[in-house]
Amino acid sequence: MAAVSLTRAQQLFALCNSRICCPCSTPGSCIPFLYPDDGCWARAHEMCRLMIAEGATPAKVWISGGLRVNSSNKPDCVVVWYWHVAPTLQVTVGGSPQMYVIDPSLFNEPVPLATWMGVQGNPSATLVHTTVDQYGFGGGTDPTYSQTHIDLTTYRNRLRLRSVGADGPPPYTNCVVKPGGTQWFGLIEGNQTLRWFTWGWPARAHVLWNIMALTPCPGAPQLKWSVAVERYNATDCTYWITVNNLSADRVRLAGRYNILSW
Amino acid sequence: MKRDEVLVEGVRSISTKVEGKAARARSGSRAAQVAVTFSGGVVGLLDARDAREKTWAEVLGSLRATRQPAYVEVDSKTRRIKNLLLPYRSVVLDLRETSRAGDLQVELEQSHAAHFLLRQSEKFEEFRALLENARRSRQAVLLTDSLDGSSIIDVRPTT
Repeated sequence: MAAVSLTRAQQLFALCNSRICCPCSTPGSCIPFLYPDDGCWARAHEMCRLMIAEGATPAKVWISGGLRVNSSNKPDCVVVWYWHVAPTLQVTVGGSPQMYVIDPSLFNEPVPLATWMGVQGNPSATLVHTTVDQYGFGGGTDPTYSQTHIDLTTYRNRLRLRSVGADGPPPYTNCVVKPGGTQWFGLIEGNQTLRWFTWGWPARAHVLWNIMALTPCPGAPQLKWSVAVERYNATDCTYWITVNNLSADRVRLAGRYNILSW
Repeated sequence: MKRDEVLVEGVRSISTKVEGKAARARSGSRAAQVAVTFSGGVVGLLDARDAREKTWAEVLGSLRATRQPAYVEVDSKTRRIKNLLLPYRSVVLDLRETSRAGDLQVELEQSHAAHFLLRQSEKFEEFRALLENARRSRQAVLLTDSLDGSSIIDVRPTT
């Protein structure tokens, strides 16, 4: 396995992560990273295919033995696995090669093997390294990617069903601590317009409002918003924030503010 | 009162019925009803104007193409499909009690996830017996998790 630079590893990670599925529509070639419950072997095989096509030489690492991982992409915030697999790359760091793991279902960037293992809730879990050829935990291969295609379709469908159901699309905000500057979390249906209001803001303050889509769906704008203000007494005001979902898919969002001056 | 029918079956056919001009004029909208026929002959209906049911119709089409079973709950009176889930068809590798109130943790050959049969399930004993038999015989079962993935809601033998 030829070593690559960290920058190259980041590019390869971005290549894989760019295929992330829009949870409600899951177009054909996407990878269901947002369904962490199951199907890691198919995601890993597809990521290896993408990286090999770019000239990289990935391998795979398999971890097994009572794994428990916190995830904001599952409604109850935790996934329990018997085993898990992800692609690896040899990355040159400080002149020597280190193994990094490419796993967008758990991280936002390539991470060292120890970091990847460290989030899986079992310090004594077993690691096994294989070539990219091994498809399943018990063995087998899928050189034509036909089984990969079937398995990815299954997990895309599971992600879709969950996302259009009562829990809505990921991420699940009950799993995260509301960051500072976040006034509310919301969910907006496809092509819907919703208005929120928030009162008790000092009129003398200069407040900027920003709506951020939390549900990933690459390819087109998802949300736009406008802000109206109501001065309801001498000192305070209410902001009325109207959000328009430009997409056909449900989107979870955060309403965020920044106070520029008092 | 008739209860919902619960099926775990393949999808035989899917057809879309679009309302004619007169019916459209009466309802004021272009209704499209999707009729799904399951392998045992039961027909379930979906309204393609509803975003969730439109997605269900597409997923059922995908299951039909790949010859995979669906778990569906069909309202016995209206024939509307009220729930759609994807079962696993898999051999049971292991079955063990968790430390949590006697719940069972199930390992399947076709999944790396742990699946939980909760003691509070009405069908706990029935499902446990099916899973035990399946583990011993290495005969595949059809196992369905809840949509949030937190618990097993249906187990049945493969035929």
